Amino acid sequence: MLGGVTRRPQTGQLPGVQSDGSVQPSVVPLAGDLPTERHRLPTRVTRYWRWRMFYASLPPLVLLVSGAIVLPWEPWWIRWSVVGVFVAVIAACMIILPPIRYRVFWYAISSTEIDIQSGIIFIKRSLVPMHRVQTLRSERGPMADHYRMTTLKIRTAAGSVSLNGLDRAEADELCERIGRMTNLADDV
Amino acid sequence: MSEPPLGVAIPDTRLHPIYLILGTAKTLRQAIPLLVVTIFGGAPWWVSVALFALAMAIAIAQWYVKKYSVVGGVLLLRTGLLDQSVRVVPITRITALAAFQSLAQRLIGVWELNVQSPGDRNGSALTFPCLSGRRLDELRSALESGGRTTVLSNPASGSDSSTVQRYLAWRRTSVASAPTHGLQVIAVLTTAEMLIAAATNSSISLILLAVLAIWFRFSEYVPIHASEFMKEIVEPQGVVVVLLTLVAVAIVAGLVLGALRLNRFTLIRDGDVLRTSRGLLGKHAATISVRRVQAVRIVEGFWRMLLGYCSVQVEVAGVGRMNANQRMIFPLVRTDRAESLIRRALPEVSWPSQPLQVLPARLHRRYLTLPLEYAVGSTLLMLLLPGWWQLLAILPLPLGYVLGVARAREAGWRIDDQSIVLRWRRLLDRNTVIVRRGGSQLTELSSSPSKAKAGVAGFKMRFSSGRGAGIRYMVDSDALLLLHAAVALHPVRPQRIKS
Repeated sequence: MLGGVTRRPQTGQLPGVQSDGSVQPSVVPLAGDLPTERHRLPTRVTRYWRWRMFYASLPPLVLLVSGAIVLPWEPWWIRWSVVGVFVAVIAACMIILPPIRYRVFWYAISSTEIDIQSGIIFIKRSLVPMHRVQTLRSERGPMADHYRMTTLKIRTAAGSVSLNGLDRAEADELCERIGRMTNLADDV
Repeated sequence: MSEPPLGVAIPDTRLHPIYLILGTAKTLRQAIPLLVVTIFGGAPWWVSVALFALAMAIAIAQWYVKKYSVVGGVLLLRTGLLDQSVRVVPITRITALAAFQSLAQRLIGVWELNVQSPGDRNGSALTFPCLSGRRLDELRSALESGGRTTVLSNPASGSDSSTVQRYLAWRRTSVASAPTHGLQVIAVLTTAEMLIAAATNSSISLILLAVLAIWFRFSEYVPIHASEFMKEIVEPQGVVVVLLTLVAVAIVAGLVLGALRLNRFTLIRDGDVLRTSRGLLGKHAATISVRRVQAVRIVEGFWRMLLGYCSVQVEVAGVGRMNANQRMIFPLVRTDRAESLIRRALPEVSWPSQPLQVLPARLHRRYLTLPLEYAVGSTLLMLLLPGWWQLLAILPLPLGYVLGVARAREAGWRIDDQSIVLRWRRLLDRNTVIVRRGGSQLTELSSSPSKAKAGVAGFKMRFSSGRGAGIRYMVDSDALLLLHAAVALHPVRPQRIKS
């Protein structure tokens, strides 16, 4: 589901008719059109994202606290209020955002395309034709290693899409599968 | 008839010897810090001479080592003195060729050739800075024929030809001229059209800003005659006359630069490639494989739209945002004749047979949001200006409203069996993109809770040139239809009706 849009085509009722009533060329359902074909991330990814957000917020927090201590601006409660607001915002984001992001994200793969939906408030569904895939790159840092997570970047000539928070074994299997499927002539 | 095998189309060949001068200049540029120290630091004269001799020696060695060849369907470039490298570009990966000849290069008789491939959006895969006319023709012929074995002509074989004739044979190239066999000249830019294109180009605004900055901030660097003219004759007439004079200077400069860039712009269809040539002092020639064209873009700039003109560009892998001239196949054409030009130049691109579908009225107010947000911000900033300049604050909101309305009314789309057409307005220009079957690399549908509630979504396609095409707000079912259609139009995807 894309941001609540429920007008999904039923079998035999493909999105072939425009809003003005004219008939469009026949189209085949995409990989992600069927909910059963969609893959979700492992549930532990929310903990991973929370810790990542925490560690990412530490440098600006240190900067703000240093500023609150060192800067001579009066009154003092304004300086420390800024620190407090920042901490509150980060805490709220750490609690609220990862579950939303987890619920929104899915990916689906067919022999002809890779279908990915991602985002939190602004949701994006990206489609990459399989024969447009140029390279695959998997990245993981020490925290991702701890949670056995990997980020997989799928690169095309126009840009890349990321699957952030994949299980490591799943990412390896996906790499191998996409690598096999992209063995097609490319007409870039 | 079977094709000739992939063999040695061009054996190892060095660049034109004039490259020694360019190489020396390049090495000296890299040694500028050292030269500054030796010249201004009081070192003896022979140190500078020794540095110059060393730069020449390096240039000679680099020229000797640098060789290119076309062998077995690949283009090879060997370079490097100590760290030798071989750059290999399969000919099948070459998307466009661009040849350039500056005024100095024209006097000498050499060309620079840039070879574009996917992934080199703002540069080129390979650059050959010094090729004679004959070598340029040889290389282009070998690359365009796919690296098939070719017979190389030897200009020195005519022993009874004079030195001057042999020299002219080396300089001669078919790049600038339009050969007459099997080619179709699609369009040639007339002088009047060239002047209109130059006058309506966005570069005049940039030149005007530069002229204003130079006169009001750096007037001490203006040449003395121009400075005296401005101070003694123009300035006494008032600020308005000064501004009009500077505007006139910007327009004249823009026209001159435009003429230098666009003179005799010619578009030719030669089999399965498109060729363009242009330029007054510096010659430019580009070759684009028709098979690599993923989309055609019609750009109607603000002034050109008022006059009923547009420019035609193509989306090709390897020719990105910075290569505006290379992706342009014709700089100025009447908007009502653009279809005819595109049909003749690129009959493979399916022109929409029905008018574009416009957006329903309920979406129009969505297009006001972003321009009005920027307008409010600009208004607040302008209120901080001193004195009468604050009156400028009355402009942003009406302009933002007009822009939002224009964006809403002009957005449109259409799909058929062979193509997708999208039209939208950016800031001052309107773009219409006709995407060929399978032309996009990546397709995106964007939404948010508020958009979903209103039944609205955004649609965007990205090409291998790095550029994109899209409509920010449209009916979500139409956006979903475009998403399906964009992938359905890919050649490898089966077309069938599910029952």
